Amino acid sequence: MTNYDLRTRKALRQVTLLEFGFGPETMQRCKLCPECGRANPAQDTHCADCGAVLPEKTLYDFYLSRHRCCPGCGVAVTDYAVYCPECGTRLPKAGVTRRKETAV
Amino acid sequence: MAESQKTATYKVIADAGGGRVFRFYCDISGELCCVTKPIRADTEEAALEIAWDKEGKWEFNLCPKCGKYVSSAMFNVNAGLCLDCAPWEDEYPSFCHHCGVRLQEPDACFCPICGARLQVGGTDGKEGAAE
Repeated sequence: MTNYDLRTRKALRQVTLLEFGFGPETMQRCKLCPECGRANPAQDTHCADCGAVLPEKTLYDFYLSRHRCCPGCGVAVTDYAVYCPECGTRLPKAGVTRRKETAV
Repeated sequence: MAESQKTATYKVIADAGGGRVFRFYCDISGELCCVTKPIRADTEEAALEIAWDKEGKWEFNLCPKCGKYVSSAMFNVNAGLCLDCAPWEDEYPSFCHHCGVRLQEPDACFCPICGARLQVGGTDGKEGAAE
């Protein structure tokens, strides 16, 4: 299990999301097999089901590639955000920072 | 709401015993979310309906905006939409996304300076802030 300080509501929320398979941390912890589609732990190099070589990119990288991202800290931001809610960087106009899509 | 597809993306594999096994995938990431038991039915359509109703659909989240069936990892449970329609927003932001001011209260609903709505949930640009 995780080592979060559960006294904060933020950490509690993170753990809850992780427990039920939602949220950015869930995506950071998994890679998809390009052959069979099975989700594997991010540290694995080969698929546990079919043995295919897993890509370097996690599911989170795939997610970021489909969104506008903050040039300062790299988190995905909504199209209407003017400033990054995480680091406060002023964001370029929507569409400018969208990353090139990468295959999982 | 966009018209949803009947099922998630799937592949069908003929089973040695004469049944059909369905593999259902997330419509965004392609993650394998469900492999059904072999299903016997007269037609593939009938087998698909059984496979989806009995096993497949319970493993997916339907996005009410675009109609895609997605895995939990690709679903924004705060907004009730898929991550293509609503990317994750921190529930406890450090800065206002509208005016950039540093927030003192991490769980405030509105920015104390510009009044922008800070709560997550797919505000879709309708945060009510003064332009």
